[in-house]
Amino acid sequence: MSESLRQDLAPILAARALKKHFGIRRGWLRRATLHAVDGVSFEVAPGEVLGIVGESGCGKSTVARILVGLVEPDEGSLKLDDIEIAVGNRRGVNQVRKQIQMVFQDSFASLNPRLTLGESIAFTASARGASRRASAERALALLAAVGLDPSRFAHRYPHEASGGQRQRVNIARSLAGDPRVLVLDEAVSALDKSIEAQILNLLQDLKEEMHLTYLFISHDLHVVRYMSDRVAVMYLGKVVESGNAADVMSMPLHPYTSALVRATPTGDPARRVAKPPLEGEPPSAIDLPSGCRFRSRCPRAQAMCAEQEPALRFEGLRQVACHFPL
Amino acid sequence: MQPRPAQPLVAIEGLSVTFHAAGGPVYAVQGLCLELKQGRTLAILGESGSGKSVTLRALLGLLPRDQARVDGSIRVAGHDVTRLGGRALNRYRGKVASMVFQDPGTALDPVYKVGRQIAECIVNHEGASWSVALRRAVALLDRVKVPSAAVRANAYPHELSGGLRQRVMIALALACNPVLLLADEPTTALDPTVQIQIVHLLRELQQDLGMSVIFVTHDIGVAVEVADEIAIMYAGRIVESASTPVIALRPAHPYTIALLAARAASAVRGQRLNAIAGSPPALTERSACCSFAPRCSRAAAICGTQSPQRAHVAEGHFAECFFPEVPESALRREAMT
Repeated sequence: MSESLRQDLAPILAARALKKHFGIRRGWLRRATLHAVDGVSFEVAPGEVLGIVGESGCGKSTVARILVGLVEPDEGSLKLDDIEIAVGNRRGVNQVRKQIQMVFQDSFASLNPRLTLGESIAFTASARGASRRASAERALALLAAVGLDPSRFAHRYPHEASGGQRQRVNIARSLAGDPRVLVLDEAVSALDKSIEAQILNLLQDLKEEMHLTYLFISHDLHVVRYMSDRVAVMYLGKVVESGNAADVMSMPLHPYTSALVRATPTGDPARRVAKPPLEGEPPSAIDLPSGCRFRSRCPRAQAMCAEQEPALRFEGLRQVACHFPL
Repeated sequence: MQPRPAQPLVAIEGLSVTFHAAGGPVYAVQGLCLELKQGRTLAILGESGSGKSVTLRALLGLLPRDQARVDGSIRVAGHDVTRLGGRALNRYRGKVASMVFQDPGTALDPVYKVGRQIAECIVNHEGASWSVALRRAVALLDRVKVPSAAVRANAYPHELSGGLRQRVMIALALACNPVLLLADEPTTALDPTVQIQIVHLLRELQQDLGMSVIFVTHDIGVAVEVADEIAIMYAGRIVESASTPVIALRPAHPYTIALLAARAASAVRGQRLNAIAGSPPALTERSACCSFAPRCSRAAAICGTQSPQRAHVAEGHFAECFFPEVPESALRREAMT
């Protein structure tokens, strides 16, 4: 979707300054705070794919869980079509929230082992108020829509299907309530590469057919670049850079994005990674560095970075949170 | 034992591994042949269930004899691995070959400090005293670039991050100076910026110590980063092997070609990916024909009735296929002879 077209559309989903801290125990009587999500804002236009990348512990899965209501944020607002859904009247909110559904990474753990694949999908349809017969019919139609022959798969149990087939079922189930937004949290990460391509193609077909909007969360830069219109890069609970996916990946502004791009193998023997771009590992989200969170690993860090936390600001159409962007 | 340069360090011939499962036999590896010279790094690339980890375990004599039937021969630095048992096998493990596992969280013992675990290996294998062994453990941790190694040697595995735990695993594997390092998806559980650090560490250690490395992975990007040679596994067989640039740029087997073409990395946004239809076969039957034929765009009648033999595509480049993609120069050479 072109930049100009997107700006004409009101966002379907708008997150403002989402914050989620977890209190954790560190031994007897000692408490600490884990800053999982610390002021994350973004907007998604209808029909758009927003990619979220970052390493483990950056808060991308917590963001996903806030979006579908599995985690309630401490602060911030989340609006679906201008209706506030992050906080407030749960019953009313849940009606609206059904329009956002999630597909998880672990295709086996997210299916009930005692329900057949058809029953799992029908269950979700009936939870939205469809009759028993209508739900069963809907399940068969959805199995076909995700490329599984209903006569062969509807009566199988999860353990009788392969990982790729189960992930197709999970996608079918997430569609059973006619959602408008799908949150795909590492939805292809556990799949083999030859199966991953099948599922990515399926997701793109479904998006066109059913006019869906995706939040595509992954640690795999190649997959995010391929799937997303725009991308947000997260580090330790914050968005450090966002913008057009191709631009962000080809000309990163934030030193962390740049390191992430350079650390990702290209598969081209002539372009091997000459030197690991970063030393060490991300600090824990419990003991955060002062100022900029990335400064402890940043090759460009200066004294100012330890004192002042950089805000996410516009650089043309892109946003970056860095005192010394590239 | 130092092999003569002409002789490969690792030579596997006709390796078959069959598991006796409750639901019948599983033919995990079927007639695998493999050679690796000293000082080289080989990546075995394959999807889950292709038999790559089983091959690695067979190389270390780790397959339980009551559950797995191992046929064929595995020779590593003059040792006939399938015939080793008892103390000879213990001596072989650690001193000749050792393994780095995917998940250091479960491979390390949670109740011992990491320095002690490394030292224990040295004490058991070399009869060194504990004080000497502990000093060597700290030196090894330093060698694998664990910051403040002397302090970290006194840490328990759970006190270390994933990247540091994997470095400890590597130090443990290097403790008795093996000539062959086996690495089973050692970077798969790590974040990208840490993964590349470990890949570089392994490459550096391989060069400095002159070891051979067999690195099992499902990620072609990582294989290209780490390896001199790549072997592609599918349904229990090596379907193609060649040097890394040849596999990455001029693959001959239809499966390798399809795998490379399916990558999101090489695709343009909006363009459909060239997915490989179907899924790998269940290994409950011994294959009598080409296992990839049902998914192959080039398959002909013969592919469904006969097993393809190892075909010589070019110097050091083999493919098990009736119709490999042959570079023109090789065709021309064949026509001349």
